[in-house]
Amino acid sequence: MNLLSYRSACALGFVALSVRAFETAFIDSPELANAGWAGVLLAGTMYIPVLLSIYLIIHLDKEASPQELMTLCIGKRGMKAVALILSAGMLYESAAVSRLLMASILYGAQEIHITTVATLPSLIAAAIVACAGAGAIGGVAGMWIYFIPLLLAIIVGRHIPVYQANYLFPIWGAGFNAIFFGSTKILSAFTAFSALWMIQSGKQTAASQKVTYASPKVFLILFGVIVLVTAILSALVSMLVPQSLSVPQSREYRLSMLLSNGLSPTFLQFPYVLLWYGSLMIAQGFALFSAARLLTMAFPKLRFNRTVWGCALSAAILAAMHIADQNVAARIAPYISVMNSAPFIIAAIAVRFRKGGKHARF
Amino acid sequence: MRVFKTAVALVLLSAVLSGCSMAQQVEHNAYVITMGVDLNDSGDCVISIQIPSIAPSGSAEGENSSASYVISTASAPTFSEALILLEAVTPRKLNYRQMISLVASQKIASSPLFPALMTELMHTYGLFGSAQLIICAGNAKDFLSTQTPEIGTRLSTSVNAMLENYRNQGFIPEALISQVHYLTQSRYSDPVAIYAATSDERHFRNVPPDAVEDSYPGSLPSTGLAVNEYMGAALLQNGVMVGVLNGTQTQILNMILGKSTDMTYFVDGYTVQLKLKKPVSNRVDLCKDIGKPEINLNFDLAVKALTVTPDTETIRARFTDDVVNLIETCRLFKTEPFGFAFAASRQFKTLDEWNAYQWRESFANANMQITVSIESI
Amino acid sequence: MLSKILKGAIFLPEIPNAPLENRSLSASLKENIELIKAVMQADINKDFVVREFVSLEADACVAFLEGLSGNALIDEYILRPCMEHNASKILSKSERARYLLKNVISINQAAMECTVDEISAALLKGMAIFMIDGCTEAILLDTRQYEKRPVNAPKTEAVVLGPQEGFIESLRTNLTLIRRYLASTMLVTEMHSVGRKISSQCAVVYLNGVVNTEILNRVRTKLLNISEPLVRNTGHLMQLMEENPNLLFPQILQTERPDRAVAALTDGQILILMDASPYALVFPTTIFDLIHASDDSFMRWQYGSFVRIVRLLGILISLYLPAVYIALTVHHSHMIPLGLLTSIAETRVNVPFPIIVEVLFMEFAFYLINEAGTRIPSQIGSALGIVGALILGQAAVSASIISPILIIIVALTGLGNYVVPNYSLGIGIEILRLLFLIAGGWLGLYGVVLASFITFGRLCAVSSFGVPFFAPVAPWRPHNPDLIARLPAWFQKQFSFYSRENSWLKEEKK
Repeated sequence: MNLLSYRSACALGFVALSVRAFETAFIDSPELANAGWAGVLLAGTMYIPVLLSIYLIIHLDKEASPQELMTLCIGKRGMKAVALILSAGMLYESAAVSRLLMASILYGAQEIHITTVATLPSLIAAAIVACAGAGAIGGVAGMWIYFIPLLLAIIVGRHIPVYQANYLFPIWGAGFNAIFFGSTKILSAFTAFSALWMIQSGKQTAASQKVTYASPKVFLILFGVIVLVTAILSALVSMLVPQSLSVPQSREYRLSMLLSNGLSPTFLQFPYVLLWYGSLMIAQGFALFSAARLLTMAFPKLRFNRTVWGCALSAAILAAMHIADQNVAARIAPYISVMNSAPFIIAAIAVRFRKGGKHARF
Repeated sequence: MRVFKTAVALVLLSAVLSGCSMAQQVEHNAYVITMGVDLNDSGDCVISIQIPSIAPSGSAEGENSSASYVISTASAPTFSEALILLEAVTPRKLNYRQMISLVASQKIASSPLFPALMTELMHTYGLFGSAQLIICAGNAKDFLSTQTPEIGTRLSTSVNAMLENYRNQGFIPEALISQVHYLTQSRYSDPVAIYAATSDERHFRNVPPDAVEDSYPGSLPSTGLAVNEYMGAALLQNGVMVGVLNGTQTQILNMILGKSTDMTYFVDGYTVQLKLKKPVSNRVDLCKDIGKPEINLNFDLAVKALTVTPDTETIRARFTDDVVNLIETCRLFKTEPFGFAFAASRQFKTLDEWNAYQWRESFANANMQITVSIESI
Repeated sequence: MLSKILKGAIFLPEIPNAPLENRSLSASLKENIELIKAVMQADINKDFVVREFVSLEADACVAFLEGLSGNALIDEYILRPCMEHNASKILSKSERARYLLKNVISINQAAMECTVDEISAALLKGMAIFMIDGCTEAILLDTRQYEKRPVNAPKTEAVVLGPQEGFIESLRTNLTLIRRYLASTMLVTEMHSVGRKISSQCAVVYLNGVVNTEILNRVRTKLLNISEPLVRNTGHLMQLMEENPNLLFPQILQTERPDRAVAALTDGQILILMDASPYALVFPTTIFDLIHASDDSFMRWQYGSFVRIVRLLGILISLYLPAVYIALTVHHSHMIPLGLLTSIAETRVNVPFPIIVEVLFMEFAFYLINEAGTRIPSQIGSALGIVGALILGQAAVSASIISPILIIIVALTGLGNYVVPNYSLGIGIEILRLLFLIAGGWLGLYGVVLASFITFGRLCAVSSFGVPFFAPVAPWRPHNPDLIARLPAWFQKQFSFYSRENSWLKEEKK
């Protein structure tokens, strides 16, 4: 089946989840007021039970694919139901990312006549790449990974003299309630990790001398790195502008704080914008590919290419109907988080009973 | 057939997606270099913009002549209307993203309209770039018209180099519009703006300066290349201008903010160079039980004589007085531009607690402990 | 006689002589000569020579194609000895040919053959055939001696440091070059013929025990399944072998350099060489093979790394500079410093065309000059330089068709294209640049990112005989630190991921 290798999944997950979590923490959560890093860490902590569930499930059979493992845990129908639920979540994610990209190009001095149509280019591009298979989307993420340190080095390096640690204080920003609410939004970005795990094969093949299998710890480490990097980036960006909740802060306003906060020379916007667009496009590709792959997992008779285009069209419609707008996404984020997380916890619990109750070994 | 279908799909798609962007040729844009904002006598907002005239390269109009820059003005009851009118009368599309300075007249900067004007500029026109906020003593339009490129450079380069030069000497603060806006919107220290005037403008105090170090722009006892003079800082409170600092006060302010590390200091008719041996340390103790915070400010300076061997004790006393004077001036105007609020906010856990503390009132009553140590080198 | 042979034969319209070639020789020399003449169309082919003489008191003949066979070889080592020899024992008619081969004819490569198709194939290769009355077999004698160009420096892969020998059009010489560069008993040369109706000889070369057998089988199968009537040269063969022929980038490397070819062999790659083509095809190939030059490893590692980085930057400039220029000036002018922006605006004041039209015009002019420079005779090549400079430089700017800054953009782009070591890749980059240019003009940097995403995404899905095109970066594989920067030779321990896992070339782990 057209699944990512575990190395490609690592690259793809790092790029897609980091940028989405960062975007949710900084752009979509102004209520966090420079305590976005705390929201990220809290969201990461909230995902630990799911992570441990996945870790336990992998131990059932280290050479089996996630699909096979979930079938082992909750049966074939259960696995298909989980795939369908995750697919729905990723389809919504795809619509949300397309709205975000549209807002980003609005910021980037584009004059857009028809904003609804402006969500289409990213979906079309993502569909074209997704149709080429897991190798395409995983490969492009694997290549982009090499550019990220260079671009970040330019951006962060240029800002080192102007970062003000003072701007992080008061340390808890708008308070625990705001952090908790913000972290539920960030969690919805992190729970895409569940979909990532489902669409990878757990092994590495193709032009390798021998097949290698992913150690279960790989996914724990990957998630930890994603959370840590996102938290650090959130903290760094927060050090550019003092905490403020005084004005309504739209996505464009927050993007401006990120990309042209007065402390960044205008030429620096070039690496900024490249990094931003590139990472978001990979997130878009990930969302669309995983939505289609999970749907074909639930309904194997569906043809993959047609499913991809169908998902792209559905995401476009969702985006056009403003169902994936910032405020709506914020409201349904907790439900998406539960949707993406609960099946794995249930599966980990269920396997204990299916595999012999208290004598079950992991 | 498949190729035909793909071709048809691409054509339809390009028709649909044609609304995704509208390209602008670079020569069809008018890049605003400086914007001036005034309030006229009838209370209308007057906006002036200075744009390069983009003559063909190698033409009779040199790049450095004032004829290469055009000033366009529009006035209307509100800022938004004035901007729209300006767009309507300018034969090119106005682009504000390359602006290097926003010049506001003291009149409009002191009015309650100013904060809303700044917010609108930031939100609507994306003015988050590195433009500097300059408040001029007189008329902004006249200020713009006397702003010309100096020493064989373009205006944008000339203004940037000039402001950087004055900033390095400490006579003006760093006043990015975005930072002014963010500080205005947040509840920490207050921002400051660059204070300037044209040299033939009447000194707003209407008295000649006592000494060079007490000078304000517009009355500097000199004639130079630049007609516009930049000296001092305009104090802002909640985005409204409330007072002015002179050159020396601005230099001390820059030292406290960590923007500069040395300054030329005038003592009893001679000049010395003061240099910070380490950044000015400040410690804010809230003393919540007393209800009166204590602020410790520590200057560790080295003095280098330029003409006469200095008496360090005299310099120390004089400098301490100047610091006290600066702080009292700010307290008088109920502003706190020193960054003490950030140090104080560390002692709170949440924004709500911080906002409830009423920092500005506390600062006005705070005990100041100023320690200045000077070593001669 | 010919009419008797042809009477009743079923003729295939494409190869009139097909039925004749399936026949075997008879014992009658006269019949054999008539048969061979009919096959070789001697009545109209005047370069086919049949020299009849007497040897061992029997009629004999030597047949060859003039120009392909060496006359002196035939005279000295076939005709004279055969004519002058007296048999030391009594021979039967059927023994004559074999006796002469063993005792008289002193040509080092010879074989006995009786089928007409093999004989005609040997004649076409330049071999001479000897037939004697009474024998149903002919002797195929390697008397090949034809004009070929000497081994010179490669034309398309010039290097500063490194060997200055390149392949030529003779398969034999090319294989000799490889043997010289790689003296190993494990070097295997498999000879195959491709072309269903007119066969061309090609050699599949690999290092046994190093090559990945799965990939080798795949290459071999693909080669043997070619059903074209004729495969003209390696370029044609490459197009038939590629698994994604519609892709802009080549998935097979064509190299003119023996040292490059040998390096590929030691990495576990497979070569195919063809007669009449001075190139070797390397299978499988990744994008990194296409952007590496052979002198990168000849130089010290610091220089090699530096040159590679410069090359990569050149490729990125070639691919992206015009697109980014258009995107920034048209959509993101705030990213350009104001001084430069006003300069650009001032130089464009009198230009009547939009920037994208200007850039496309200049690109097209550059392609024309490029192509003309390749085709133009050397005598008037200097005139092209003057025309190019005048058109692109002075005249176009003076006439306000283009702005001066665009000259710099196009010049840098062109220079960036010339650093690409692989000619095919260079053209692919030129085509891709146009697409990026259009995307940048349409949607700015967003369009450039979208176009790059689609391009590199699709390229990552491409494989060359089972090896992903962007391996070992995407997907990642353990590899030598030799992709972008070339670290010192003592770090290159992995040997290529192309080779089989237990390759005998790999350093044994202690």
